[in-house]
Amino acid sequence: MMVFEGVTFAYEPSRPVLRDASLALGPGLSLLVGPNGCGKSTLLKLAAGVERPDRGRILIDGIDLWEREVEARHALAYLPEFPDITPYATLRDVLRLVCRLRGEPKATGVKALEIFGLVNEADHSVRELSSGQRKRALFAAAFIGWPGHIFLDEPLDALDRQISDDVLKWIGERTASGATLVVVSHAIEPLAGLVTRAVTVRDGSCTVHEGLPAEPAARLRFLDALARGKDEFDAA
Amino acid sequence: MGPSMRPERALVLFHLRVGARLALRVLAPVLAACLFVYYILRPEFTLEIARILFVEASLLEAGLAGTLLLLGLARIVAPRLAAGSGGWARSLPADSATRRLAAVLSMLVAEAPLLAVLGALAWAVTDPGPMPGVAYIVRVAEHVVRVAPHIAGLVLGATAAGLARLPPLPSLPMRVLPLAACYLSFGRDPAVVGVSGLLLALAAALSVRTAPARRRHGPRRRLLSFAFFPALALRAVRGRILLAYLPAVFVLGAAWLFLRNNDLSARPAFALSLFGLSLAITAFIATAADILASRRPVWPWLRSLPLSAAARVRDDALLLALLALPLAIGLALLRRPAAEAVYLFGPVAWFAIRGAGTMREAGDRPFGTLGTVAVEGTILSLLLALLPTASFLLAAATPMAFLLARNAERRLKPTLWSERHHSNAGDPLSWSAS
Repeated sequence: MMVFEGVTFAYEPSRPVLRDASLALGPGLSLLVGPNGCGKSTLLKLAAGVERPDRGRILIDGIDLWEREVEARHALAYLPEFPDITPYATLRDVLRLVCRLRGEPKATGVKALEIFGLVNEADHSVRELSSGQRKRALFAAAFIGWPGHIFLDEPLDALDRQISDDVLKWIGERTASGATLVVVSHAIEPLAGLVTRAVTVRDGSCTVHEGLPAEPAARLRFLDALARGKDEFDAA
Repeated sequence: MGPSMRPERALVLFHLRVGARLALRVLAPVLAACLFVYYILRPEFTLEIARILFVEASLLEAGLAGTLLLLGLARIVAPRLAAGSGGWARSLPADSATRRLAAVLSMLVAEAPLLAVLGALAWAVTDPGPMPGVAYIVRVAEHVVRVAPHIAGLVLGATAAGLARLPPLPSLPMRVLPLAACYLSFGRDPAVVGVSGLLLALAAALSVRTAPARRRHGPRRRLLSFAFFPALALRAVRGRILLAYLPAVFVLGAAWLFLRNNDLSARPAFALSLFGLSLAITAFIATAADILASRRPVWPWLRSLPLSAAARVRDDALLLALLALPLAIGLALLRRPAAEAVYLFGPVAWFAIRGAGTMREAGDRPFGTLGTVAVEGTILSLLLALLPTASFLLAAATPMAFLLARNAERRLKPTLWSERHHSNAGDPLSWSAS
């Protein structure tokens, strides 16, 4: 369970992205939708501990993300929209770091590289990789340690069709295994069948839309309307 | 759709604005330095240095000193102005020659405050003095004629240094021409300055044709997993870390010379050596932290891994403290090394943690990491010289500095664009975009 309690956050004090927002997302796939700039990626960064709330707190399985930093982060994995991997290390170095921090054997990192087809690129720097390869590298990091909370920002961007299919399959498996997945995506169609609930951010507050239409076409229309910034009643 | 502006004009205007903005940012430290020089070192000292540079020194001396000065300035300004110039900007409708020359012009504007100070000094030291029986206007004209080669030389030299330092860096043979132009610009003789101008024109013409491709290769050797973060930091700064030792060595050398050439009693000698050592450590840590903050910016994704903010600060502080250890060799130059070593524990611990902390706030501070640590360090070094036991107070206060640094790390908004991220190396997004 990932919980936001009265979270306020602003890059500029006069323009808060979130204002006293509260939210609780349990197991299943929560799809964060909405127009550009509404605060979806920021919400995900807050949940992943990349940004710290100006006020309020964020709990991962009841553990405060900024009080017990290491413990809370053991349970989460984050895939940013722009895969920022340091150019001063190789992919193998980065995955070994993740293994060490999550208390996993090095072999898990090697296995993750194999699963995401990056064995040949393991000793390359990020500068030599395409955008899709960088994204796959961070998927491989998310695989290590089997974290129960997974935050994905535009996970299907820049991926080829085969890897996209593999990622969707992986998302489905993790959802079925009881993990909490929060995904920001403008590509709704591939994910619509897997979505448990939708989340929107508007004017600094978050709304969780449970009980999505079961019929695929109606569900897609509903999610599409939310993504265009319409409210729940208009969407329905 | 309105009439479009000529690309050259649009680019020049854009770069002038960028240069002016940077100039405004550096104006405050330049003014502060001028006030420091005027009130602390006294005008006589400054004018003497200027007289040596502009009047008395030979071409060899003036050329070398001036070239080093202008190259150093260009080294600071160039990456701040060239950020992003290798990417999307290349898709705009302007040729590479225009882009490069507009960026050099922008550098000149950004360096204008310091060049104006140098120009004013040149004016002051080339005063022809009283000319009895000569009209005032003739005297002023004589003064202008004397100073003109210096002013023209400064502008030419700064342009040449900009051309040599502007990314993407030209190949070494292609840097010889602008460096020669910069060197000759301090020639004082109008003919030599003219040659400098010709060389500069040639260098400008050649540099736009031979812009090197960007290197994309990365590390090949594995990092040691137990020393991942220090090794990562050292890879980010590479040989630049040696530059951080230069000001420290300079301070230590000055302290050593003072002690050698003055017969001081035990107490003042101890105070001076403690001051010198503490200031040297400050100078090193301030410069090293500044280089590190610029070359290895915050890595947003790392913050989602199970590693605490305190651990990230601790790793940086330990690295800075370890890198400062070679300065302990300075102890051997002084009189009572064992005593000074005991008193240095406090400053090393304090400044290493302050360096790691201010790196996290560099974007919010007008003088960045370098200015903040240098100012604090100078004040605390003076305090230590007057009251050596303050070292133990500093050591006792390091947990507080650590908490401040940890809070700064937590407060940091890594996705917020800040002016600190001025170069490709300093911009975390460039990690994904380069």
